[in-house]
Amino acid sequence: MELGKIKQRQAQGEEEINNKVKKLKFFYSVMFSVVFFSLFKLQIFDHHFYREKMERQIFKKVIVKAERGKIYDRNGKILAMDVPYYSLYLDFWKIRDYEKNHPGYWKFLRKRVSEILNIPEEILERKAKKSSYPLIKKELTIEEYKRLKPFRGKGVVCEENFKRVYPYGKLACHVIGFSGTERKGLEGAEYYYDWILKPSDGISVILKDGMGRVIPSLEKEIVHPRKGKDIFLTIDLNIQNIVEEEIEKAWKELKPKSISVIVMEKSGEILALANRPNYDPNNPGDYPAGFRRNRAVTDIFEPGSIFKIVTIAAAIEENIVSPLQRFYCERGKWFIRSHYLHDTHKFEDLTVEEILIKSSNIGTVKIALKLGKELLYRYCEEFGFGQFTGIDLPGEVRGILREPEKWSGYSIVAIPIGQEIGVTAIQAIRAMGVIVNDGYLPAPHILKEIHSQDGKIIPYKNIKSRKVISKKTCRILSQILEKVVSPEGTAPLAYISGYHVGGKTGTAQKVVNGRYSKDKVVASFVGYIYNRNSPKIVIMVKVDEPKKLFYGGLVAAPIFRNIAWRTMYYLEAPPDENLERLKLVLRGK
Amino acid sequence: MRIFIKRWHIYITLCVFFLTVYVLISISLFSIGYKLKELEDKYKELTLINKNKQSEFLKLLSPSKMKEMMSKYNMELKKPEEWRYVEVFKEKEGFISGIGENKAEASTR
Repeated sequence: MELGKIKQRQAQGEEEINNKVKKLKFFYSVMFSVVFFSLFKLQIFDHHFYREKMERQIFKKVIVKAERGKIYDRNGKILAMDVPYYSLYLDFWKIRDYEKNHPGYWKFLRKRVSEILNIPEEILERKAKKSSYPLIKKELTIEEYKRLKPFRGKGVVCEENFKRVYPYGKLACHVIGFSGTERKGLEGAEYYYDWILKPSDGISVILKDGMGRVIPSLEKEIVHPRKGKDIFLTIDLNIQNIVEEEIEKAWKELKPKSISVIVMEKSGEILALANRPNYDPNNPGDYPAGFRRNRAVTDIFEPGSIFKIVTIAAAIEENIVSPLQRFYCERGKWFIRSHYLHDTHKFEDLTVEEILIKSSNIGTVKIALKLGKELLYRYCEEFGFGQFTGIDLPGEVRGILREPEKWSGYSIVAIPIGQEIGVTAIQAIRAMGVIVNDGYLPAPHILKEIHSQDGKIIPYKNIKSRKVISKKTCRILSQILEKVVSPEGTAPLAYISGYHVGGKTGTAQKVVNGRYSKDKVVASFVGYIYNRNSPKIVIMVKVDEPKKLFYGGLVAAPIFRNIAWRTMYYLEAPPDENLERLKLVLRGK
Repeated sequence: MRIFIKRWHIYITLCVFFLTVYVLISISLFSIGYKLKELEDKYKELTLINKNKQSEFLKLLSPSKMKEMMSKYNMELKKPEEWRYVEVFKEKEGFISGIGENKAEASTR
């Protein structure tokens, strides 16, 4: 009986326990289900949300700076390049952390930094009070960087950056230009070709360890940094140097307001371009804005006698005059359209050829009157005046050329001799280029080719030039222009034996208070040089307000001559003896 | 299920083994990463030195610097032989003249 009761109780107890276990199982199942469901939700549904949150906490996006493209001259000499440098910052969050385990660390660091950089400790202390991440020094020297290296990661941060360096300083400064602190081109080729040179910075995600060091294995590159493309200019650094030397000599001797010189190959490739005043692109801020102006493309001037080439070329091309046709030059003084027109010599009868050689104003105007204003205007346009040359440099102006409807009664007298018209030096050299380029208008440009990082070379696409005058007219004009530099012409100082040298002088009086000044002039010479050993080179020299001498033949022609023969020397094109003999035979000597 | 329970120690050993391998590989990867970073820093430093030296070298080669150094050391740059341009002087007109006298060329006005 007793045993039966005990068994019954036991069975009851087991049942109770079983029930409790079942309840417990159910409870735990529910709990685990909840946990499992939560985990499932976290891992599957909310995965992206939490991952982003985690990444934001432990990863850091950093910008990886890329190099700006280099600028080379036509022979591969570096004209502009990016040079890396380090700037020193102090990270006071880290210094304070470090100070907890190493008391006196800041004092020690301050002393060392002050010793290495030669900065008084008080300045460091002052900077530390102002900011938690102060800039201590912008450009560390290599020596300083090496000495600071042991402190990196312990509150010393060396941030990498790039600075633009122009190794040749002022040389070709107006062509190369410069870029600003934001690494954006601001002048010259740097500005014009900024879209090619511009790098594209990359973005990396980094994870730092407890020491603040980057864990490289976990570094992720989101955007790959791309270096800017390199450009090769048409500029020849050696010719540029010749020009700079000659221009400097003239700058000191003549003390003018400004000088511009352009050396161009007949197709339009600019071999050298220089202006005075100039500046150092490494420190452009040290110079006034006027020094940074590329006067060869931005400044307009009345061309004066050099414009007579256009008038005579038009008349010969239209068969209105022949080179040996004679014109009476009124003995140096002619009353025309209510004005007196003067020549410097009392010329009587001059042939068309002589009119250009001796630069007779009266003769030129008489030819222009035969030509008529419509044709004269058409040829001014054909030679590219009043239009952009399209040179790949910023700030080019189109000059001044009024339409014939807007001409005054006197314009037909003034324009043929280069007055009432505004041109730039680049327009003048382009017009002379027509004569050596067999009548085709050259397209002045400074870009030779683009080199991309994958080794692809993209050459400059030359614009198809238009024909302005016939080859025959070019030949006639060349013969005349070569006599301009002979002893009977206005520029014998431009003569170089053994070469085909020709050109035209200009001495344009400047307008001061509405009147033509007697002592302020723009003296210019535009000419060419070549022989069978050399390419055809065109040179434009413009001297604004020379103080010592006055005439283009005295001021600009010698500059032309020196640049021309030195360029020929550099191009290894020696003088041609036979050519000289031939010239003497042609002159009947 | 029973087989699984019987061989649990084998599976756990395998798990521990693979986990150890994983940890070891991760550690070596991290250490290679650090070494790489160190080398990368060294490369950057060398590039910095190289580029700075290159720009300094180019600056020294520039004509203005050359001239400066020549004058500093009392040396003369050899000028190329002056070829043959003719200096024409007209006695009567005297080319080296001042404004308005002995005119050599017509002014435009």
